[in-house]
Amino acid sequence: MASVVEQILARVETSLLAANVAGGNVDRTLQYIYDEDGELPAINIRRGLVSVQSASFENDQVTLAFTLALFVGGANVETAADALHVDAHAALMLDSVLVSLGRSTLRLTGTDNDADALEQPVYQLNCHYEIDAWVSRADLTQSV
Amino acid sequence: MWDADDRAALIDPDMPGYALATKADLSTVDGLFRQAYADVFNAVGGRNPTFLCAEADAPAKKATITISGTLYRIIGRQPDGQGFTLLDLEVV
Repeated sequence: MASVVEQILARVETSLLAANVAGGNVDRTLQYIYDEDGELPAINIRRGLVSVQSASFENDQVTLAFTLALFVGGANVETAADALHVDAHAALMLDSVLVSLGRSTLRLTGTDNDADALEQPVYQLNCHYEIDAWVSRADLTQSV
Repeated sequence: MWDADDRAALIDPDMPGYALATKADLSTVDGLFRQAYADVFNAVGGRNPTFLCAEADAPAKKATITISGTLYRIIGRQPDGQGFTLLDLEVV
């Protein structure tokens, strides 16, 4: 069984795919290059820092940071990226599994962006999230 | 600096990518059109259209040109100091 951290990241992907956010162009492969012609918009889920604090004699509080890297192309890219983020955010916040694993601690901590052009303007909006989970010290796969 | 004969030898109808671009005022400028692969952010890949032409004939930034029926906007100009300018294009 996967660690609680991996369970959360996998659930983020599942949730976004189930909500049909970004038309199914959702994945976790850092090396993937999305095709400007046909694969945008897209969301790439990127694992960030994981910090651990003692919560009790047997459990730790694990804080997972992750980023949704949103990619859009065409006209009005900032508006399109914002709409995509609103949809993705809603899907995550409404996901009962994430609510349970994180005890409703999932939160947006900030965004940053970048812009470039190929045949059309291309825009990247990075949406940074954190979520806390309480994990058995003896078994990283067990949420408590 | 390349002279007119040098430029004519490079931007020649026999050269690969040779194209005649039509400006907004319907005048034309000849040059070499490329659509090489490029990626941005190490995450999105696609074609990166450019047009190399004589600096004296190059349209201004933000102007539009039509090449092979496609309308492009000039989003960047890269003069080489030798009489040529490379235009960065995006599809309008």
